[in-house]
Amino acid sequence: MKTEFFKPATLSEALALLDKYQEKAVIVNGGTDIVIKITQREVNPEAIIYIQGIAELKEIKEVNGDLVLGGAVTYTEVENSSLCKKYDGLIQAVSEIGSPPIRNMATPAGNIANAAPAADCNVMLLALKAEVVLASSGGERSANIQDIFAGPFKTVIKPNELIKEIRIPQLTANTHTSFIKMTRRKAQDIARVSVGVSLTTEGSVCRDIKIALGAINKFPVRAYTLEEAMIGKEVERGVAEIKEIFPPEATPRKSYKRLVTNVIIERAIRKAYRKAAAGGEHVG
Amino acid sequence: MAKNISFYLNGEKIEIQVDEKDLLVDVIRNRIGLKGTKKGCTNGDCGVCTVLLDGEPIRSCITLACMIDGKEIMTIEGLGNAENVHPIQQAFVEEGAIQCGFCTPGMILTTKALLDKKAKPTTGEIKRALSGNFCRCAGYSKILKAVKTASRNLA
Ligand SMILES: Cc1cc2nc3c(=O)[nH]c(=O)nc-3n(C[C@H](O)[C@H](O)[C@H](O)COP(=O)(O)OP(=O)(O)OC[C@H]3O[C@@H](n4cnc5c(N)ncnc54)[C@H](O)[C@@H]3O)c2cc1C
Repeated sequence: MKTEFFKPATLSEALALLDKYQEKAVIVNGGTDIVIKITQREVNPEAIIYIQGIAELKEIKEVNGDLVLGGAVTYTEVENSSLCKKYDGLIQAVSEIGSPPIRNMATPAGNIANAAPAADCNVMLLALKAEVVLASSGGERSANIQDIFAGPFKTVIKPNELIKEIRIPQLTANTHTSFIKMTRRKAQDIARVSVGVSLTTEGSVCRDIKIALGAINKFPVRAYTLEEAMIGKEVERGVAEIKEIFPPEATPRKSYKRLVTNVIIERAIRKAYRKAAAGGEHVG
Repeated sequence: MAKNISFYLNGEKIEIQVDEKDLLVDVIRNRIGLKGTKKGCTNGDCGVCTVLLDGEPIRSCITLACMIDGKEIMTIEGLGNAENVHPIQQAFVEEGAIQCGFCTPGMILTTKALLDKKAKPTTGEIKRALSGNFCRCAGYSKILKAVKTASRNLA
């Protein structure tokens, strides 16, 4: 079957192509997940739509205090962006993805649309309550990242839709974020368990917390039970209490993950809390 | 189907017709005939297929040739040759940082991108930059030494 390669220069061009080809189109962004599937004929698109040439998708900007990552922004671009700096957890998550040559190509949008259970950026975006803006020739809609995933490697993104941008809400005062992944190797390894945390404190008290878990379920999930157990308590007391509670939201298939999950959660909370203790009023 | 693309390879303009699904590594090796770029794991993991895209290391085994249309690619052949040995290549030879040699082009190109950005990288920065390049002869300490020697010699 013939395959055409398109490199649209504008978003509307890309959306018109998606509209025309629908499920016979495949978007290629960094290509680090999808190219192998194309060459090995796991997917057989009639149209390859390569979106790295679309300038409006390459922007990182701040809009009303929110951080906005364009749909074709790479991890390297996130790492180098001064706007992203205050999101410690985001930087920690993306700077451990693959290795530098992977990060030079790969994108947060690709991580979302690929929807791997162990996808690192997705876990942190969940802790940050990110919103995904989906564009199609019919218009735009936006969805919370937690509503995007429908199963392992499955999302609710429609064939004619494209991730235009990812919006990360402004961090409230005294909020600090962190990410930790447990791997067998330091570089280029898939997370066995990953945890993203966003912690809001007032002195030593936890005012709000979001704990996202990766590589444990079909897709990243929030550990609401542990979050509720932490809120309103001294951080130290909360951490001590949740140590013994295995988050019911997590359903690991491998038993060793039961043993390590709480340890990684504790470390991630402490990592964010250390920042809070060191940074005082600093927002980020 | 086929597509005409043009790009700069080691400073020279290439115009070539490729299949939409051709991998960059295959075009470089089999169509253009430059065999310094290796094909290893074919999954983006091992780093032997590393080339520089506009100066930055990427994996040519998970990149479609069509994706680099209009761009600048450098392979190991563009860095130096037997008559014109590049200081990084020289440092790898001097330090004995080459055993079977299969990972060497990728190691050297990744080193080039690193030193272009940072003339005097720390050990940690070198390790981080080369973290996606595997040497199965496990000659890592000599490779690390070679990068430091190259950094000194280029200064
Ligand atoms: C060696 C190696 C190491 C890796 N290490 C890690 C790791 O440590 N952690 C990790 O999480 N992942 C890792 N990955 C996986 C991969 O790099 C990431 O999932 C990456 O974020 C994918 O982004 P991409 O731009 O390359 O996606 P692509 O491969 O271009 O696309 C992936 C999927 O998303 C779709 N898509 C892409 N962009 C959009 C968009 N804007 N709108 C709609 N759909 C879109 C594509 O159609 C495709 O289905 C690794 C991959 C490799 C090869």
